[in-house]
Amino acid sequence: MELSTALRNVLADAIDSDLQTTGFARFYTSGLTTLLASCSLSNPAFGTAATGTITLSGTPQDTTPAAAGTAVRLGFYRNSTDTSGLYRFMLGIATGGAPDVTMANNVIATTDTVQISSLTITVPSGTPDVT
Amino acid sequence: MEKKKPKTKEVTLEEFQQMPRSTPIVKATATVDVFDKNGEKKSTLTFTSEDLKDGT
Repeated sequence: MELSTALRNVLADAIDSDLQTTGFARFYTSGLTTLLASCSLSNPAFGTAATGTITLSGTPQDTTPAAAGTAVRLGFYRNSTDTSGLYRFMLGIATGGAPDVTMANNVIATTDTVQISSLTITVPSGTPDVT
Repeated sequence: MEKKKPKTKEVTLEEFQQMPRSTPIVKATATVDVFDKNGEKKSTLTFTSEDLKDGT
C-alpha cells in the first residue's frame, strides 16, 4: 500500500495530537515496574508534519530522575499521572541487538540528567504490493 | 449463480512471521543523552525503528 504525502502528514500529526497538551516521555525498567526518568514534552510535543515526519519540539529533560536503574522502555504518555500501562506508544531500549533504541549505557542514576536531544517519527509512504 | 469462495490460504504462525513486510508502519529516529552530575556526557543513545515489532 502506498500513502499520499497528505495522508502521511495527517497520520503523523495524529500521533502528536494523541499526546494532547501535557505529554511526557518516561524511561522505565523491565516490565514497566519502576519509573526512572520523566521528561515533560512541549505543547504541542512535535512540530507540524512535513513529508510524513514530525519532529520533537525542544530538548525535554529530567534533571532529577526518580529512581536509579536500567532503562529498557521509553514510553510516551498524555499526563505525568498516567499509570505505566497507559502509554500511547512505547519504544524498547537495549545495549545490543536490534532494539528500537540502542543505548551505550542504559543505567540511569538519580544524579544524572536525561535529555531527549532529538526525536522524529515518520509515517512512510510504502509501495503498492502486487504479490 | 454460485458464489465465488474467497481466495484464502492457511499459514502457520511461524510462516506468517517470516512473510516479507514491504510497508513499515512507523519509523522513529531519536537521540537521548544522559549526563552525569558533573555535566559530563555519560551516554548517548540513538535509535531507528523501521517498523512495529514484538518487544523482546
